[in-house]
Amino acid sequence: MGITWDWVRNNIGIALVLLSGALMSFTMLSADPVGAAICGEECARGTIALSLMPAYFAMMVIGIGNSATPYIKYLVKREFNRRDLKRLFLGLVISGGSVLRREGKYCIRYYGKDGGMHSVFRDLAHQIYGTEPQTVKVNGRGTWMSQFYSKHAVLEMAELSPGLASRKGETPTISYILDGGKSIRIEAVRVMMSTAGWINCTFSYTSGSTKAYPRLGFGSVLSDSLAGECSCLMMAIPLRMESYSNSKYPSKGYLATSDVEEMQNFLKAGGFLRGSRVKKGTFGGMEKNILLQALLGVHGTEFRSREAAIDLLTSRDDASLELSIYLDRLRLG
Amino acid sequence: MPIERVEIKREALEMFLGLCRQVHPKENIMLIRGKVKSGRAIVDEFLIPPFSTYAHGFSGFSMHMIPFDLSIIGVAHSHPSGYNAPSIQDLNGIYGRLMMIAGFPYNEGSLAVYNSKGEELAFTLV
Repeated sequence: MGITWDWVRNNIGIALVLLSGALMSFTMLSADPVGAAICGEECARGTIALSLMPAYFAMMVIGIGNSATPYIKYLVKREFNRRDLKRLFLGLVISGGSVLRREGKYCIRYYGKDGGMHSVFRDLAHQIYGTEPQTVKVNGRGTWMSQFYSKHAVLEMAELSPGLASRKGETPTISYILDGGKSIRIEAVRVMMSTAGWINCTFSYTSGSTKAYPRLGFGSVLSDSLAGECSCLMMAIPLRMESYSNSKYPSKGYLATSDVEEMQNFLKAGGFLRGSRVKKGTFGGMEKNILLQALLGVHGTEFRSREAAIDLLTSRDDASLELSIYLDRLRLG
Repeated sequence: MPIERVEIKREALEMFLGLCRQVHPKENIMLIRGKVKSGRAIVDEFLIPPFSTYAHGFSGFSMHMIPFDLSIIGVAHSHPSGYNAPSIQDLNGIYGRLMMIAGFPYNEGSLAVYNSKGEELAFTLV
């Protein structure tokens, strides 16, 4: 195996993590434990060392960022071939993208606010078609779009799912994904749920207390046929979801479940892709897996009020908590 | 075992209250050093947190600047308003096992001690 750029990057990342960890430990062990002495003149060196702690932390974050394996590389390592990756790409485009074929233009787009999912789209497009999609901000809508032009890719997508590139109201199909093996179907569910999946929480009010119940769903305006296919696809996990019709568009609908066991099955299968975040609402910005775990943790627990439950749930977002610890200061009023 | 009794060394408390008076009308903040044994907390001294902020309405410090020191058992700060009950911000930011709040005019009578749950504890000076 030759030395590649990824190998170098990964090892530099690990080295940075180890080095920053060692520096942090050394600084903490060598610092005078008496806080007052730190401010004294005789301990100036200790103060300098301590003031470098944020730099060590930044070094550690950079190291972790460089040593983390991207999702697509993880799939390639698991020996997912090009056809399997194409199945995932199709799932990604159907759940959150579009295919344009008009006036000699052949374009595949992916929309969303989630930067992590745009990376997955870019990596998949690169791995399958060797192109580099560009990500641009959609003005006025507060969202982002990744797109690339490729006649070959568009025609292939149109062949795999004829309704995808049609503008005559035909619905796309995921039969190509359903033909895949179990492991690829599970990954397809994860990818599609990370794009169009949602987590909600319903509250029931009884005398003097409030209980929170999680709800996991997929899509909002799925056609009957696509909802049926998605339901079949999710059985690979198994994640059983019921079909509900959209109150605004009666011919469209979505899949959802309130069954805790089904949600646990989904988490056991890997859950949402790492870094996938809730788009908007009360829990907007929270990592989806953390929110789902938090909701399952408080299922049926009695709270004083709805706000108390939401406070507890939102405080479970580990990333924001760590960030507040490192960037914020303990602030008493 | 939860803390039931708190004993504070008189000289240490005088130093803390003196600093509270000095920074008034801003809020003072200090770390509490001592030990907790079988439900009894003994406060030996108060430490100045490195790079702490004393401001009108709040005080704070960076937690990552605090050395790994198990003898730090809590945080003490002042309320220039004179009302020594913990605010919502205080309850959300309890650090360690003890929290002391000294209200204006910063004497023994205006001092209150709370545990990590925000429940008031009785204290004695030794």
